[in-house]
Amino acid sequence: MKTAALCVLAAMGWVLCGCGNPSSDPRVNVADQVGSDSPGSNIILRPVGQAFSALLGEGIEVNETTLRTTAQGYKEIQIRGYNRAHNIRRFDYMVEWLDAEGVVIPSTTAVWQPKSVQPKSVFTIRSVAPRKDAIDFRMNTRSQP
Amino acid sequence: MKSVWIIAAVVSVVLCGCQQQTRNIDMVNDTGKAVMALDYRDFDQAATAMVESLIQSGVLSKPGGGRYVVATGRIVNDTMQRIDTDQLMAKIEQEIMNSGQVVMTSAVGGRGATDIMIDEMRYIRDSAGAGEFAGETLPQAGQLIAPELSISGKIIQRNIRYDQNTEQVEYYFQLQLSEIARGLRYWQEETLIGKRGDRRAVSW
Repeated sequence: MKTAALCVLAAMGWVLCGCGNPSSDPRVNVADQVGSDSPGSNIILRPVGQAFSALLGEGIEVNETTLRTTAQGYKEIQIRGYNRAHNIRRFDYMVEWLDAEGVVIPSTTAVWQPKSVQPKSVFTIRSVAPRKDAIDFRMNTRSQP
Repeated sequence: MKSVWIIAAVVSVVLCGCQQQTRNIDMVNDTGKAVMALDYRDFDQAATAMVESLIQSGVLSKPGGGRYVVATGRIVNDTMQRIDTDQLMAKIEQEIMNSGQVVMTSAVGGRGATDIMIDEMRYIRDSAGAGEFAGETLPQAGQLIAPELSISGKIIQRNIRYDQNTEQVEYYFQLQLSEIARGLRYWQEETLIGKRGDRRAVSW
């Protein structure tokens, strides 16, 4: 009985966490309390979903990394991610660029940069290499002090 | 009477022990609290945003190859703080030079030559002291290269009363890149840093 109740509770949590406001265009995110309420996201169930999200420790995930070369010959990255949490996620990131031998290129731009992401929203981080001999990168993140 | 001296000695030892210890800041992973005034982290953040924007824009790429000669023009400090604007510009100059697209000139700038020896040696050349130097080692007239582009800008501060106890301070870092010959502006960027804190905290 106890196990069954826990299973139901967990399933409900998953459902609630997964419920955002649907948009007809996946490129457009309609935030909670902006769009219409839905059965999974309304004034009663929203706090439950938020509690489950916090319990599950949902946060930032990185979905796609694009590395390209600009017209001037500099490498440029775009990192696309998603904030799964029900609250705003604030973090710092630092991008370091590497040359062909994997050696870090010293740059004053390799400093912690702040980023703030809306709940249940897509975000992007862009960075351009400081020199043309940069061919790869590495990025680190930290929670804001 | 003797006990008074002992108490005084104990109190002084305790007070000396309470002194705040001096520590070096971990400049890479500084977990220190934000301050209302501008600190090095704000300059790092603003300079990084400016450099990335400048390189991404592609305006530093000289058509036909070669490198632009760039001068740092006037950077106005319109804040309530005593800021040396080189705190911002040194990072930007360093990065755009390292990018391999430009050469900075030290001969002219918004505050005159950035290296006083450039003017000084020309002054000596035209003075009686020139005889002290081998003539061919003195800089000749017509050797300096004029800048093609100039970076200028402003740092602005706005203080706003947020509520009874809180003050909001907004810092605007504005830079622009102009072509000197024709006066055309090729690039412009603004970075905003905002702080909200105790009204009694000093932001100047």
